[in-house]
Amino acid sequence: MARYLAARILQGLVTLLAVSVVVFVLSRLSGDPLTLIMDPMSTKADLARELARLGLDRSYPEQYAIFLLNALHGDFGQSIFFKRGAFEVFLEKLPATLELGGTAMAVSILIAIPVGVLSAVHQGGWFDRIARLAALTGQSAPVFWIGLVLILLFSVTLGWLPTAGRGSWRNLVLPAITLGWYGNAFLMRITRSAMLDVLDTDYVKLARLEGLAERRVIWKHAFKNAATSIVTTLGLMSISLVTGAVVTETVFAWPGVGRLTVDAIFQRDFPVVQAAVILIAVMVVAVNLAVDVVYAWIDPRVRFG
Amino acid sequence: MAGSEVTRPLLEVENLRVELATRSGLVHAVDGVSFHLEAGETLGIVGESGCGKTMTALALQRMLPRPGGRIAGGAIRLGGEDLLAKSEAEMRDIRGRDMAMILQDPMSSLNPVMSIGAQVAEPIRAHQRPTRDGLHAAVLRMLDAVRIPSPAARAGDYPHQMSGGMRQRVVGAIALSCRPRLLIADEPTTALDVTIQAQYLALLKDLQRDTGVAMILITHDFGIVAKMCDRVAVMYAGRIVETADVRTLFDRPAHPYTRALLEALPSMEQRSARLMVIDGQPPDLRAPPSGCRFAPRCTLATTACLAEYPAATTLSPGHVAHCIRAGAP
Repeated sequence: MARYLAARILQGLVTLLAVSVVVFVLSRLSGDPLTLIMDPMSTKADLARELARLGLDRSYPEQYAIFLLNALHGDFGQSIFFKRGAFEVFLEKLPATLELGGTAMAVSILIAIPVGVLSAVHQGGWFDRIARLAALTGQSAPVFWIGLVLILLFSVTLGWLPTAGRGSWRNLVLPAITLGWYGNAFLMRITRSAMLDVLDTDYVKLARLEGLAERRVIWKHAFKNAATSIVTTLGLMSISLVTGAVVTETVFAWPGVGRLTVDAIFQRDFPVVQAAVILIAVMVVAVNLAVDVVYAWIDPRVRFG
Repeated sequence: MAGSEVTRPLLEVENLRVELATRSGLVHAVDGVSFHLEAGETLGIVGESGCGKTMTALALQRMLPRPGGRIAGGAIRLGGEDLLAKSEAEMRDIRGRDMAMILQDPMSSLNPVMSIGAQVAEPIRAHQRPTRDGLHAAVLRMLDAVRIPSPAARAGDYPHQMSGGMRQRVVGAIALSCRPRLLIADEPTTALDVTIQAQYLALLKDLQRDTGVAMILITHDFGIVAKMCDRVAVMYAGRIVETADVRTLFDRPAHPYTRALLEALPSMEQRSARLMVIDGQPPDLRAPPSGCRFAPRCTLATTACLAEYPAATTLSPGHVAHCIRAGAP
């Protein structure tokens, strides 16, 4: 178990190191930031001084080492646009994204997993048919379109919920549904197919032959075995809720990291872009690590393997 | 027999019919099977794959594959009680408590994410409402009964940490944990190594002696039948063609199919002789022939065999064969 975890953590660190190299290289390839920062009228001497101040006159390996060391201390440089620490800017926007993603995720778990399990148990029945149709629609409709339709229906026509912005729970409803829509459909389908596989096994048959209550057969014997695929999907989803929030945050003017990153790219605010990419990568690695830990907790073959 | 009280057999199966709805049509998987089983007795059900052995076993527990499988007719009585009249909830009480089953493949019969102790505890918890300590003690007792070394240490182990033979012992412990009256073992040793097979069969036999459980042993192996069974029913294409006690069946097989099966066994006396094979294939059970089902493959068949299914001929008490030539010189 300890060795398993150590291997996973090491893998995560290697991934993060690779991401930092990519970010560093790309940010040097995307044009000269000095032309953005500097006054167009500045002299060569000004330029040289600024280069030295930012450390851009050093060799690339040196620059990378400094970049990495600073990043480890949470220092990603000053945002060109906000004139504040890029890390600080990112952290400011993070709670909004986590709130939205967390709500979307909770809704998905509460709806998609039970629906998927029920669908599998009543395979081919009316409930299964309706659920599958709903999932198909959910996966086919583009996110921005769902967002707009929801706004049109619930905000413009019915006037029940606000169209945009962040504030009370009422602001959260539409963006959370929009963001969770695709993941919900995906999670339901994965849960259903994982359960179908497990329900067909000999050990589930044997559990029924032991005279166990159907509820226990489904949740204790079948679901726990289907849970590994479900957890993997949840991991993928939670990542896509952060990275894929861009569209939803744009449609609903939600002040999260998705919009921050897109804006920063267009404003060539490269310290913020670097901070966002690396910190999102850290989150992705952390989620994957969490998924691996949950695997081990669920499946003894991983734990003792 | 009128007037005298006769103790009823533990299990009575009369004219059982099982149908499976498949994409390619309705399969008459079991088509009029009758047999009985006394308490503590072992009945072997022998036949080739697809003859309806497993479907018969599942039908006894009303656990036919869903959707598609159904009991189309007949009667099943356990201890005199009509199982086909029971509700699903009543059947759940009977399964695991009064009758239990051992499946063929120990590698897939155990839940990979539950410790073996927890799995042995499941039926006990479901049927006996034990105390926590009582449950733990009962689990260890069962693991010990199936001769799992140092049960207390191994109860927390998971299936993947055990060999196939050990896993099948755990399946046996699960099956016998509530002291059922009837144990159905569906090819319990087919997936095991030959040396482990003998060990496992000996274990089953000891457990049967200790608990008095009656056993239906489904197999295609006459060696196992000879070692384990009191009586045998030979199945072919959804029907029982011959029933007899083991001695009689080996000594005086009456049905040509039984004889052919026995001749297909290698023997020490005729090592140089070629093994007999039965030409042809079993009939299509979507449209079974109206006459004797073995007639198309039978070397002794006449046109009379194709006319209608042969009635039962009783050759001696307990020895019944469905062949028009049975008993004829």
